[in-house]
Amino acid sequence: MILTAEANGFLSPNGVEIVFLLVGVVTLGAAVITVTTRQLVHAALWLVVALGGLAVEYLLLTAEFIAWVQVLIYVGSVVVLLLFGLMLTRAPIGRSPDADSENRWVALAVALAAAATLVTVVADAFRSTWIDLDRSVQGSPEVTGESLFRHWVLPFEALSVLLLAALVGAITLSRRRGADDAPASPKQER
Amino acid sequence: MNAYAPILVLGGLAAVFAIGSVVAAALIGPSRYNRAKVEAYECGIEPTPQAVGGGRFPIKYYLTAMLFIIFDIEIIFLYPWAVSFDAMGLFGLVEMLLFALTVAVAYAYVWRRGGLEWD
Amino acid sequence: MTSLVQSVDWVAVAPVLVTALTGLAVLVTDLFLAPRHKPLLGWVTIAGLALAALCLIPLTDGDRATFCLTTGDRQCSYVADHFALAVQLLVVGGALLTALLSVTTVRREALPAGEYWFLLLSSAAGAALLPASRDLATLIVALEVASLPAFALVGLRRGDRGSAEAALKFFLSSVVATAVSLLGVSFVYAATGSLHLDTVAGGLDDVDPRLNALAALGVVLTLVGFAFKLAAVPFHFWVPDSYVGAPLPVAAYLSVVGKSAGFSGLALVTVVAFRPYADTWGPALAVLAALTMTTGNVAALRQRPDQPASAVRLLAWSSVGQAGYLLVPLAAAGYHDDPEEMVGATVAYALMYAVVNLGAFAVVALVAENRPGHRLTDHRALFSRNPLAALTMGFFLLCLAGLPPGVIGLFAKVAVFRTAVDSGLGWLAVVMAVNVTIALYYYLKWTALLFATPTTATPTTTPAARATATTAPAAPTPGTATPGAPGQATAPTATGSTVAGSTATAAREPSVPASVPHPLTAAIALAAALGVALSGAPQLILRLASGTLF
Repeated sequence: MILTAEANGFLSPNGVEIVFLLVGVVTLGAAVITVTTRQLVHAALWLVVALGGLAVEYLLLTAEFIAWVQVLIYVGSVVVLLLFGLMLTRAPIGRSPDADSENRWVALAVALAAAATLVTVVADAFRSTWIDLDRSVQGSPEVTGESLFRHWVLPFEALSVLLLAALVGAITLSRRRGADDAPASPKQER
Repeated sequence: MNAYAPILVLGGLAAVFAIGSVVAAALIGPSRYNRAKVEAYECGIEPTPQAVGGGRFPIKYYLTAMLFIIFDIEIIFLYPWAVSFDAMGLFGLVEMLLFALTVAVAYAYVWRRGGLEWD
Repeated sequence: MTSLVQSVDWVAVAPVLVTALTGLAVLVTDLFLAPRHKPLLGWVTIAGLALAALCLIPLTDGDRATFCLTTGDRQCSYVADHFALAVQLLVVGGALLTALLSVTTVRREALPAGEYWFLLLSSAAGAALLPASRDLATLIVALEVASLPAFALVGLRRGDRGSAEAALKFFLSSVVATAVSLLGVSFVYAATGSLHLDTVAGGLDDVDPRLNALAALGVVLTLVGFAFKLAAVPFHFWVPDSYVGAPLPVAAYLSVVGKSAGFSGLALVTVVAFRPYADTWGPALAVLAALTMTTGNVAALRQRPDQPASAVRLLAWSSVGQAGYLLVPLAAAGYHDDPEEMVGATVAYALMYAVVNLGAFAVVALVAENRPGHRLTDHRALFSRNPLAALTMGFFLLCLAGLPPGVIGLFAKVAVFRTAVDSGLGWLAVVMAVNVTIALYYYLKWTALLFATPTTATPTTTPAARATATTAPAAPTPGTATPGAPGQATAPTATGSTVAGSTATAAREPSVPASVPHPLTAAIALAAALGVALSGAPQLILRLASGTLF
């Protein structure tokens, strides 16, 4: 990131920090709108902004691989799934008064308390810590790949079973009594 | 990070073009309305006041999206694997094959269960 | 070149691998199998689980480790020590008994066979991987592999609103718990720079003072996900609804194998990884244990016997109470100088609990063959209808209560109790004693119900039984037998002598399938045999409670 600053010359030495902060503010704003808007589809679209903002933050911290995961998986498919989910249900496309819950103040209190705790603890812990983005690139695909396929073989292979089970479980639950079950049931009853 | 500068420039250009054409059309385009202009373009479907199926999607879309996510996650792991393939050698290949085969069972499952048929 | 990649000890991972591969094989076979052959899948599952249990035998030395780092201090991701082996035995054995229970259910409720067996096996594989994993990444992935299929299993009863709602509740709350756990893991990683449990322990020993609060918060948050699986009290609310909404064998599975995933994960992170923070998690677990056992037992006490599914509800709440006992040695480990010594009591207790609780669920399933309401009142006078089933059920309940002749239940409770006393947790020992007394009441009430006379209440029965007797005639669900005529055979017993009677009963009642649930009988017989064997030779599992397992 420092390289960009030198190459373009229009960012000051701590330009990365300025960009990081600005993107952070945008991400936070989008996240707040996501949970406060009364239009469900708008909420999903603001979620795209929030997730995309996070991707930019990862990129600024040189965590390139995680940034791509964020873009491809979260922005690319989770939000699409979310939109499909919205449209499968009876949720109205426009304003939905049902989206407002009686628990909003409790939720607000819990959210504020959790945020205050986490921000205080994390800010207190890393107040005087600086990451040297120049020297050690930890998040590039090369480094991630080597560590993943060399040191994390077991969780990686377990993950394949997890993915398969997730798909089978989701399909089993969402499928209504399908055509291929119908001939099976009477036979099994006997 | 330098590698992302062209993407940034491209994104900027795209934004400028999109905003520019909308603004320019509003500013300098003649605004004469006729019936044809508010209809669907060329071969589009005629809009109806009530959407088909009450505006709801069939569950098929959801299944397809689920399948997409599973393989999306598989692909994201292929990326660092491909980049560091030379260092891993045969071990990495076997590892990825096991992973891909297990996830491929998901494909076989959906296929045999008729999840890919669109009727 | 070869030194750069991990070497894999296939024998060490065999129990997990066999379970997972059987699951894959079952799923693929199911896709190309004619419907009439589908019952075969259940037997393939049972055979696979039995094979996985056999794979534990060559590992008994407990000195194998694999998936080790090739750099640094060669930390391993998978260690087959005695702790891992004992919990794997519990998981594989529990899954085996569940599979035996499920054979009938899958056929009767027309559950999708391939999916059911695959989900059961993959969940068991995750639960078997969990106690052997020695890094936080594998732990979390294993926890998810163990629980994600369980959500689907809970919701499998199609067209049943309760089942779907239970699955959704279970899913949402569990995912939140795992997310909180992941946040905790990331804090711990930030503070120590490692995910391997031993290195984490080393890193927490001399953590930068500025990161102290972060590490402590990380430690506490990490426990949440595991406490949720164990159904410890602030995280227990999903239990009754999920158990009632799920197919009965799945409820039995959750109460045993699901809990084992919770306590083994808790034991690993607290005793191995977060040892330097014992003064943080020790009191937290002690309070959790006290709350859990009290809430579970008091709620179990308040179950009305004539309500639908009251038997399952009672077992659900009693399983919450039992989870509290499982937590006691872990809490004690936080106060003891040698924390690893304490964990053995939890494992021993869990093994006892697994056998008798699965047995109790099996008898509930047997009773439900003819009276599918899962009411406590359906168990009234079981002795006169099916003496063997009533005797085994009485034995299981006494084991759960910790009274002779359920000797093993008594000894396991004593082992747990001793850890609390030894580590100076006197107040927790008192709370536990009070809870054991509360639990006695409802376990004994149920036992008394089993042996009550089949006619209306007599003055010799307990007050509770008398109270239920008035409601008993209204209890049977439409379409089932009228409440038991004396001597009427309701289900085949282990002896097989009442098979003819059962068939005759079924012929008269169209809603009751004519099939003889041999697998169910086998499950009860197996659990009873194990329970009796353990009561005869309690040292088999109490050995675990003395000395360290790691």
